[in-house]
Amino acid sequence: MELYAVAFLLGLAFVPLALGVFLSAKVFNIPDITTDGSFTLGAAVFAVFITKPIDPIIATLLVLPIGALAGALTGIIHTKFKVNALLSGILVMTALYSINLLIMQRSNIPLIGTASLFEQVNNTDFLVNNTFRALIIVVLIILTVIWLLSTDFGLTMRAAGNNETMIEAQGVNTNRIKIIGLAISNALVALSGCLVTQLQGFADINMGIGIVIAGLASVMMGEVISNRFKHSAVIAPVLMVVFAAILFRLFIAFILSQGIEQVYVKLFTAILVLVFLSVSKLNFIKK
Amino acid sequence: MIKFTNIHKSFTDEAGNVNALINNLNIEFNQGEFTMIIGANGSGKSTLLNLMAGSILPDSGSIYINKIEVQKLKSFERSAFIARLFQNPLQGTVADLTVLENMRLAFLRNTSKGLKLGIDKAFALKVREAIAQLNLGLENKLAQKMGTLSGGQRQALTLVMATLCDAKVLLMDEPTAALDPKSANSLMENAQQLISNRSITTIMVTHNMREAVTYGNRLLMMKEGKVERDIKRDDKLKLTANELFDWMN
Repeated sequence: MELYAVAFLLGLAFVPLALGVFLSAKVFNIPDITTDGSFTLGAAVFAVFITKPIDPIIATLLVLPIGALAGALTGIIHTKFKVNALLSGILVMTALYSINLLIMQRSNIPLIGTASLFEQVNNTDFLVNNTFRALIIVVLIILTVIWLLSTDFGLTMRAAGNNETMIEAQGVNTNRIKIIGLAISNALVALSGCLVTQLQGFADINMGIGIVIAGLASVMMGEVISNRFKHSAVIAPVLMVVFAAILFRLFIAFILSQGIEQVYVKLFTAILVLVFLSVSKLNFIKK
Repeated sequence: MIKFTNIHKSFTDEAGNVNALINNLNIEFNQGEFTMIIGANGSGKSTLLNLMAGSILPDSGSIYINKIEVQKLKSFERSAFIARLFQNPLQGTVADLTVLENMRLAFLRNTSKGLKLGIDKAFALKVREAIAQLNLGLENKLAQKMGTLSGGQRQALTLVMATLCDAKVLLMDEPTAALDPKSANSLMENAQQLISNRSITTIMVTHNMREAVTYGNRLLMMKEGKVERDIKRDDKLKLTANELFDWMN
């Protein structure tokens, strides 16, 4: 049972990642691979700040603009230099690997004994207390994302990913919207990397590799479920992505509990994404 | 209101031949004028519309709207003046957003898209009143996603969107081409009324000769990138669709 409780807690830490990927992949229709780099960037920046030491709340908040910078860079390469969106993300992700190493100065930073938003494992009630803290953070993030998408600016973001011609005809600079959107998306992803690194107690240069698939899995699962809520354009999709992000971690916990080795987790993740992609395209589930 | 001065636009085909789409065009459109443009394919009528909207740039010449030279402005910058009704009903609206959200986007055309929750009861009421003018019952479908409506309904709502933002110029590129005759007729009646009420300078391209003679108060007949005939309101009333058809052929 503790395995699933830990998975639930980890799922909460992955919620900002799922919401970040939701913004780029579903709202903007941009396949943003920057995610792999910005997730580690969040972890790396937090690990360096916390060992200075800087207050964990301030260190966590500082991760947001740094993650946003990475996303904005992808947006600028895509819109100003007219590079394909996927390739722009790959370029920034590749560059971020070196930048992250430069920030960390080594491939792994252990955070045992350093300050954190979460309690250390040796505390008896750590799981309950940490879940409570993570829930507060996640609820704040969810409310912020729902509010943002409901504002006039959020409405413009949602329209930009759906019909660029129309939105330009309404006087919107779509390039600017894309840059801001990718910045917000990667700020969330970096925050997720920061939360995960605090929960697992270390930052690792490879922790972001393939993480975009985990985000996509949550988005795809969330989309399939939220299609049942026809009249809710913002709240249901966001909540379902959150729900799917947690469900995804529980799914991985289930796989591991069946004695399947860690090495196969990404294989199962890819299969899961494929299943949900097919379900959403072939419309197996009644809308 | 709108002035084209020595506008030239050409394209080079695969064989390297330079073809003129618009050939040294000089023309003016007055405030509130509803101009219909007809001509065979390749006559330059859609190019004229795209030049005005900023979708394409002229090789030479100047375009003025309200004495402001606009040909160097990007498409989204020109939309401060210009609203568009596209040939494809899917192009003018956002399918995944509701009718009310689409209207909000139109309403925000000339303002900043800030962090305000702009859709409230007062806005919904304003939109309801504007849509009710269409007499299509669409004011009861504000919460419905635009993608669930028919092409005719979407075109009619795009027309309302143009009026919500107080656009100075309305460009309509064969707006009835994808509609059935009843929907097309309804759209044109609504367009005529809204344009007249709001005094919006309107330019519409059409292949429908009946529409060309029935609606608007000016008719341009284009051939090979030039305006061959420019017919004003009174003379236009004497024309028949068959005469136009004969001219086209």
